Formats: sequence, structure tokens, C-alpha cells
Amino acid sequence: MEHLKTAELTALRKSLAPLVSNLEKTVNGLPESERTSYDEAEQSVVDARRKAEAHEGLLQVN
Amino acid sequence: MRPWVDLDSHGWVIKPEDEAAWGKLADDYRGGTAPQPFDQILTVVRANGCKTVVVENRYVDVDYRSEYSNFWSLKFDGQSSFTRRLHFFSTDLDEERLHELPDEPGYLGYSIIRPVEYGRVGRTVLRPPPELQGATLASVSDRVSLFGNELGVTGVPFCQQDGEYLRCAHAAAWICHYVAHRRELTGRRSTAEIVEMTPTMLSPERALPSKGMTLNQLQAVFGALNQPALFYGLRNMPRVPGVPEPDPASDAEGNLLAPGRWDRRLITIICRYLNSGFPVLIGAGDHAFVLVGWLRRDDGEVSFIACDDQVGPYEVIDDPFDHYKTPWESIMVPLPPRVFLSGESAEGRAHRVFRSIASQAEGLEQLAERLVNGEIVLRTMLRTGASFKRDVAKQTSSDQILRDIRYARLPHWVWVVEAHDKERCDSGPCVVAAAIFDSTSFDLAPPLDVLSLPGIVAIYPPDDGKPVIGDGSPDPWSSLLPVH
Repeated sequence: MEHLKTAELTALRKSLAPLVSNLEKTVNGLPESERTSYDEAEQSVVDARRKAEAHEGLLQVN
Repeated sequence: MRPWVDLDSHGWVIKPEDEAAWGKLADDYRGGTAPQPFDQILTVVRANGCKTVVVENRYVDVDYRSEYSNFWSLKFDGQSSFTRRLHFFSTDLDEERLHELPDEPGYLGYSIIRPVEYGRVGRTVLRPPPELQGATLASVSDRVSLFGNELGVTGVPFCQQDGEYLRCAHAAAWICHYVAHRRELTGRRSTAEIVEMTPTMLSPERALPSKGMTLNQLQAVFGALNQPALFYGLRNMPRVPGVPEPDPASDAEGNLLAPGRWDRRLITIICRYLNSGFPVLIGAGDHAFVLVGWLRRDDGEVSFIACDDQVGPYEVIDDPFDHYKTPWESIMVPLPPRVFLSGESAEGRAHRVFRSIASQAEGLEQLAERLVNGEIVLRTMLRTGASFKRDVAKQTSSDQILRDIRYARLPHWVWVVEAHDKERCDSGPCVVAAAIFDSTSFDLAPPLDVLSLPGIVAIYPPDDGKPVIGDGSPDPWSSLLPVH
């Protein structure tokens, strides 16, 4: 982005300001398929740790 | 009583000048049945140019003394309650001047030797060998007093199991604990305290002699040490946007192989925590060991650095899928107790935020595209809010940004996620976006504290305060990670 002219940088900031001001709306502005993929990834972190607890805990290390 | 303490000596000096002399030192201290860790210690100090070894006689080690009180003193056969502490120097020291060492003695670290037959190496902190110069290590600074001389060493702690009272799990837990202690995250606990923290009801075995720990017991110990551990089983790895999901591998007969033989996501998980300075415990079969660092090789791949009580300090593991304990099965990351948010969730959320904004902003379409095609990668680390505020001064030339960030109300620990332009990583500043998350938040949709994108910086105060939005530089800035 280093080569941006002043006018372009001003336009970029103008474009970004509302997007960063209302993050929830911005995040929901992605296409539905992409939103679903991100939702599933977030849920997979929670699920991964829950499932791991049930399966692995009784293994013994010595 | 077995001979161990020289009653008439404070200590002595050894100056091994040839292979035979190093061999004799090894024979004297490595122990009979598990010699590899001490041999590795000598390999490390020799790589650092060790010329002098000072043997501190009749050293009272807090850990071994605790072990002696709780276990070894119960034996019918007598055993010394004292250890020897070996100090390694890169200079040629005068034995007559040990009471007043030169200002720059070239201290390489120390190793405590227990008077037991199996597993002699106790608390050990050595300067890393030169080959690890470019590595990211969970190093700590340690201070010792040798005959009144104050000495310092920076390195990763190590200790060996003794096979009866301390097993690999205890040694691994102690390594994680000692790092946290030296980082002033928790008070000092002795090895015997770690054994006593182990809930016996979580194992069908009697406590002594120890047969090891279940992972549930390890978790209980980490909790008692004020370092509750994140736990990942390799059979259930999380999906993180931007991290490729590998296809499961099968053997020649078509049988699915264990994920510890092919799931490369374990590398990214481990590196997030090593980047944060926290050691990572690996459970593999019936063994536990600790990863204490990583380094990027010339071919671009990652090698891990381990402290494995069966191998010694600073073992380099070039390939986790071809290691003597492959397949690895579980990952435990002892963390400060109020770090509720995982690095995976922080990174996933950052990817989503960067992608959402860049795809809707005029002028950031390339950033949106390159996030998806892998030309921009995310790197994640845990930092204290204070250290982030301190180091941000190196990342911005704008007084306004510095002011806004330093006045921001941040929690004690924050997750920092940086978006790196891979093409720039070797040539200078490479960070094109960054997101800071509250580490006390939940894994689902964690809120942002700070967001930095080309041209703009946004700070999100807690308790629904009004965001502070300021002008940022359009240029990439330097990473907080020295190596990435």
C-alpha cells in the first residue's frame, strides 16, 4: 500500500471507517457460505477440546 | 551411606582437554542406566566452548532435598541427601580464584546431579547451543550464586526422571512450572510438591513407587500449579481459517493412520504457544516430553526443540511425523489461569475480521484475496497487555497511534494476531494487519480490543465504550515476533 497517493489513502480511510465502527455488521456482510464456514471453524475449536477431554484423559504417561 | 560428599572440600575444578577427559566426566556423572541426558548436557556445553567445569560439593538442592524427605529417606539402604552442582564456563578459570571469579567468566549454565543410580540429572539450565541461535525458545533467565559469585544464564530448564519417585510426567510438569516461575507467573514449587499435588484417585495405581501419571492427573497438577492447561487430542483437531486441512493418510493396506502421522495442524497449534513463550507438553504413547522451541530450517520447514527427560536438553526434532515417539497423541499447554480464549479462536476470528473488512473496503481487495490464497498468513502469540503497549512503540512512528494504544484499557493478557505478507518476511516489515483480543473472552466470537489495518487503527474499549478510530500508516510494520 506504500505507493498510495494522498487522495487514495483518504478514500481508503473513508471506506474503512464505517466498517471498523460497526464490526458485527461488517462481519455479517460476508456471503452466507463464507459466514457458515467461519462459524463452523469457531465451533470446531470448542468441540475439539470437549471431545479430547473424553477420549484421552485416562492415558498414562510415565 | 554411599560415598558422595567430600567432607573436606567446597568443590573442585575439572578442565577436560581431550575426548578421554570428557569421557571420564561423563562416566563419573551420567549414571548407569539412563546416561543419555547427561551426555546431551556435555554435548551442549561443549558446543558452547566449555573449558572449565566447577563441581560444587555438598549442594543442598531444594528439589532433591524434597524428594529425599518424601521418598529416598524411607529406603533401608542409605543414600546421601546432598547433590553436586556442576557449573560450566567457556573460560579457563583459576581453581585458586573460585571465590572471586572474573567479571566475564563465560558462564554457560549449571546442572544438578542427584546421588541416585537412575536418572541423575536434576534441575539444569544451560545456554542454548549455537545451532539454535535463530530459534524461538521458551527461555528464562536464571540466577545462581556460586561461592558468592552471582552468575546468570538464559536458557530452557531441564530435569530427568529418576524412575521411582519422579517419572517423565513429573519431569515434564516441572519444566513447564519452572518456566512459569522464572517468568514470575507462579511461586516456586518443589518436585515433591508436584508429586503431592497428584490426585491418587485419578489412577488405579498406588502412588509410590510411581508408575507415571494419567493425563487427568497431569491436568490436576497443572491446575494446582496455577497453570491450567489447554488440551488438544490429535484425533479432534480444531479447524482454523487460513490453516490448510490435510487429508488423512492411510497405510499400504488402506487402514487410516493415526493423525500424529500426518496432521500438520499440530505444528501451527504448537507454534502459537511457543511464540508466546509457553512450553508445550506432548503426550505420545506412554511417554510425555516438552517442546520448548521451534526453528525454521533453510528449506522453510519447522524443526521443534524438545526437553525430553529420556534424551536431554535441546533435542532437535526435525520431523514430528518421524520421531522416536511418533505418533504424538495429545498436546497440553499450561497457561495463566485467566487465559480463557485459545490461540486458535483468536486467529480464526482475526481471519474472519480481516477478510470481512478487506472484502468490503475500497482498496483492500488484494488483501482479501491474498488472505484466502495463502499469500498472507496469520501468526498468533499471547502477550501481556503491558508488553504489547511497550513494544508498539517499535511498530509505529505515529504519536497519535502510540497515545491511543497506550491509553487503551487492555486485560492483563492479550492475544495478538498479525497478518504477515509472506513475500516480505525475509526482507523487512511484513505485518499488514493486526488484531488484539481479550484473553478472558470466550472461544465463540471473541471481541476485539485493537484492530490495525492499512490506513486505520481502531480501539474498542471494554463495556461497550465508543470505538476510538485513528489514522494509521498504509505501510507494513514490523512483527512482534523476532522469528516467524
